[in-house]
Amino acid sequence: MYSLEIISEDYQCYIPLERRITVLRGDSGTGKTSFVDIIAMGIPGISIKCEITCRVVTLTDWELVLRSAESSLLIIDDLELVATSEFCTVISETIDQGNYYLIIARENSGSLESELNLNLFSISTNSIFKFIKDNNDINHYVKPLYSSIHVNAPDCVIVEDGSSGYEFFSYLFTCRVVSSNGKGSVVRKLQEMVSEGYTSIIVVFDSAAFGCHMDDLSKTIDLAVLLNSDIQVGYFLDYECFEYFLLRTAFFENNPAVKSVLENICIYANKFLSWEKFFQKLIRDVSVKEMFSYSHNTVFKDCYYKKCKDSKMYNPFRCGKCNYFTDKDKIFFLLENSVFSYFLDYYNSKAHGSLTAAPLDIF
Amino acid sequence: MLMIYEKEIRPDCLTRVTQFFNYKKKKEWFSDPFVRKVIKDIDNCEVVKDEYIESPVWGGIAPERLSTGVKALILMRVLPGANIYATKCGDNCAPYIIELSKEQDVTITLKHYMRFACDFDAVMLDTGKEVHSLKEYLTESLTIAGIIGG
Repeated sequence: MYSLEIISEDYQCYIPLERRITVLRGDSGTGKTSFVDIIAMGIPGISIKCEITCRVVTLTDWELVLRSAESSLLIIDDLELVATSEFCTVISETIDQGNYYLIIARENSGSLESELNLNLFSISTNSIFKFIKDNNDINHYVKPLYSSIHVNAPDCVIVEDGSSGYEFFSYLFTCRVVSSNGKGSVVRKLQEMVSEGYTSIIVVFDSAAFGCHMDDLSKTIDLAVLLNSDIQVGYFLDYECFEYFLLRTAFFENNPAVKSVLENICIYANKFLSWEKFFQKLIRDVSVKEMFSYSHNTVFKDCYYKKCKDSKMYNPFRCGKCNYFTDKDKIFFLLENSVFSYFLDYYNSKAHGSLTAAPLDIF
Repeated sequence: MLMIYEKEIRPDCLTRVTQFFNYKKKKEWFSDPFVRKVIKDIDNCEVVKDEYIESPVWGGIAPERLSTGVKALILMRVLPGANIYATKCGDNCAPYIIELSKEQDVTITLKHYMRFACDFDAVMLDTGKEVHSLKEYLTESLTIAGIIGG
């Protein structure tokens, strides 16, 4: 993982660059602009450490720099253009140049993504940081602006995904599950569910690409709580996307390619601007020969949530050869030793009984 | 009175706060008590005389080195008729915007969620609606964004 560090007598700062796009926000007067000035001026005696070339982008040269730079860290400070269609388009068109971006702005860059069909440009909720200075005014650091909120007994779950993810979570959660059919509609769906009277709501969104909607989500939650202090809204920021969730299950825990990637995600996933796209490709590649093959936007196999023998896909001959053939409850089997085992707190296997589907005649 | 635009950045909005401030600043601005207070509270710097400011870290500094949020607050104070792009301001500027709007007209454009954290009076200029509490502000703001109603 790359990082950016400034060390001097008067100013110290460390910023991890886990993903291709990092966003810094925070209070005024914390030293964000001083940090950029130090890099721009290259002051003797001040040590600037970064594994790649750093360049501060200005209002007059931004497009030229973005289009010509390669494998560099481009620092974009105080330029309201980050929320414009021109900026998003240039970023989308130059993905293969391998640049990293450090954006210091409160505007919601990327919110025009769906409008402009820039489906390669998105900001992770986990790459938005708060810039903080210590009381001594010298030490500066960042911490994640958002963190997961867990809700114990939800009465409603909103799932961003309208297909596979919705099918899976409709099975897992015992309360009402609705889909927003896309990330751009999650906040409106939350507002709708609050208006319908639900008070304990979990929102399952792809944190890898939801950064530009967090302002609206926070505003909606704050209003809901002001109107009814009993309302709780939870979300999970370690849930990068549905494909990442599946890759962390027992189906893939012994897969050497997946293990290798998960040990050092940055090296592999940062070839893509958004990790969501990387995980979609990874799971398709590693599952292609399996009974539980998965590909984004194709039919989702129910062997991810139904017992093997209850699955529509069940075929005694082929399934008998599957390394993961089991009589166990499939949700427990997949999640009990995974990083997402906390989802089992919401699961009641008895709610589903034990229905045995007839094997498909395609086998 | 505080007046807020949220729907779009209008052509009259002063978005290039730093550039405008650095070019247009006048030494008499820095003798204003409100200006001195925000420089002290937000940037932890002291106005010594005119444009000479002292920072505990950097020593004597020029106004150009103030934070963008403080520059925006100063422009709100000295240009009461201007539409200032308050997305340059962190949440720690919000109490000062509210305080200033009790003394004079303040017009701002917001393109992010500013946490005001307390009730206040404002006019949402996109709809002309008056709000008198945080609850009313958030409701109107989410309506303008198309999240409520529509």
